[in-house]
Amino acid sequence: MSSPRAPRLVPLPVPQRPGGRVEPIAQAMDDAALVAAVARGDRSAAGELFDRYALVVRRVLARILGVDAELGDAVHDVFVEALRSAAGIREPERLEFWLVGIAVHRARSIIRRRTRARWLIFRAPEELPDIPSGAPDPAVDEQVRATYVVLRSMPADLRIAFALRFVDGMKLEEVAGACGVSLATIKRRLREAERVFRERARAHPALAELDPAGGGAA
Amino acid sequence: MNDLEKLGARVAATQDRELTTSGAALRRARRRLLEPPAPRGRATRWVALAAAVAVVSVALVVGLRPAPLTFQVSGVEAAARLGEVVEPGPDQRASIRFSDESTVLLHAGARGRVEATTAHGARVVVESGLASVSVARKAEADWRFDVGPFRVRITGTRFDVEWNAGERRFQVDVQDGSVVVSGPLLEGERSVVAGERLVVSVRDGRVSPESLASAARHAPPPTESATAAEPPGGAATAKEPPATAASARATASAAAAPSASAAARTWRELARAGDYRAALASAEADGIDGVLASASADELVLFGDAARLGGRGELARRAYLAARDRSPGSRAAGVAAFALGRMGGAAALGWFDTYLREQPRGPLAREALGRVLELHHAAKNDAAARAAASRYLAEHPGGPYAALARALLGTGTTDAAPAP
Repeated sequence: MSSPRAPRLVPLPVPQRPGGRVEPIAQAMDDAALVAAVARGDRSAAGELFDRYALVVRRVLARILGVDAELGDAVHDVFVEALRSAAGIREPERLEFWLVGIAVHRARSIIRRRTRARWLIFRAPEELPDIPSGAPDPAVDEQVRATYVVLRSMPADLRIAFALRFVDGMKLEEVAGACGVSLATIKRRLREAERVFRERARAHPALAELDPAGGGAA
Repeated sequence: MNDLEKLGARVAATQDRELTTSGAALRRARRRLLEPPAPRGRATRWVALAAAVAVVSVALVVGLRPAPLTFQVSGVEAAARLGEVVEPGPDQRASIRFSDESTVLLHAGARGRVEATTAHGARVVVESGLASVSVARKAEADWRFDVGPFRVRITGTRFDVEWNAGERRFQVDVQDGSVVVSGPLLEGERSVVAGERLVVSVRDGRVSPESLASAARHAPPPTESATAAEPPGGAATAKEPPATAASARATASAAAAPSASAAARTWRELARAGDYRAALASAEADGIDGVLASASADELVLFGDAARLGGRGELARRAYLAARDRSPGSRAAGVAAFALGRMGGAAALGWFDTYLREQPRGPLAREALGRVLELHHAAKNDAAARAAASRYLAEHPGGPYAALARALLGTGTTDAAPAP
């Protein structure tokens, strides 16, 4: 089974801090040293952690939740959790994957909160307000919108697995790691996610190009 | 790549493009994260608590929270104050420009006011008439428009909205992004996306959603939406300055039954005022060939814009080509080349290249190069796309196409950011 897009982890750009000043990443401090400094409560290390990984965290959250007004807060929450639990990280050299795991956990919490809110106000997912996607082509804009309408209607675990695999292009092993489950479990979950997505996509003309039967991409 | 992977890649590329413009939320998150921690210890805790209360009190009083948007009103005599009614006369248009570059253009006879502003948006009331709205696209944008008895919520988009109080008729034409409408006859909220029109006739009890394209095909000329006649990637894009994207609908009415004052104005005045159809009608009365033969290059660009936004693509093309002939190598000739590229079609790439060759440091160079990159990418000209991507990042590292350029160069293939 091939990865949709590789390599997945695009090189991080040099962070542009407020005010437009470009500051090079401190190459001297590797991830393990950075985690140790963060765990000691070093605020500048916390800033460095944010600068290195905020874009990755935001990207993962955006893939799962869509681009919406809550993204900034969600990124903040992920890093608050990361600072709080940095002392307990077991594999500091896998810092990025650890942060992605926290982001996935945070996204799941947000999905569940929104699902509860939806029950409370009796609104179908399709009626939830949409954020314009920014696509230059209205047809793509509509595809993006329809994709998230379908994803919103799916159970959180299936939605997360689908978004990480098909939208973010993660490898199966990476999806499993981010979700904290075994490879076998994630394969089963993705098969189910693909089936549900294809079935529900049939209700959306913008997604008409999808094969209802599918080819078992997961 | 199977169909789901292709769809996912399109979604990802679109998201990446949008995320490049929403850095403010990240900067805020970083600032909040690195705020100094609360002091420890019992005594210091009380001191900290007292200080926090004081800070919050002061913040509430003097407004240390992010400053709300400010705005200016132009085109009419009206103060830029919350609640102040803005009401352009029969021959006027009033522009309300906010500090985040969002604009609300109230057309002749409309009546509206800014009711409240926050750091991320405003509540605007359109009591009656037509308003053309362009809201800066930001993830945290929070705007609400009360239009007659209807409510329109948006986060970043361009649309025309109208409440005809006499006919009790609501209409919204969305050119970019999407809006969520609620109000009479609409059960809950109704999403209207780019390219769609929603008409609600409260008097007749009728709700009519339709695409702008079909509205343009089927509606009689006076009510045709000019932006709907644009080719893909044409004027109906987010890049269009708000003022030039003004609705042709109101002006179309003016063209169909020109007022005495409109008839007396030249096509140039009408075009500059955004009355594109009236401008075209005036130019036709003067004789199109004469206009094309006698106007300056700048005027020909203006006329081309009026024709393009008035739904007369072929006439626009003639005007732009005439502008290039009139003053080769001039700024106007470059703008005409860019406009010809924006009209789409097989020649688009060549026209953007022409602009870049003639005006490599021109004000539209960043956008032209981005379009070149996008067109090469869409055509799967990988080598050319990568070359354009390299140049784009070298010249405009923070530009709106930078994410796409990085994706192209970072993977070495086009898979990471495929053409929409």
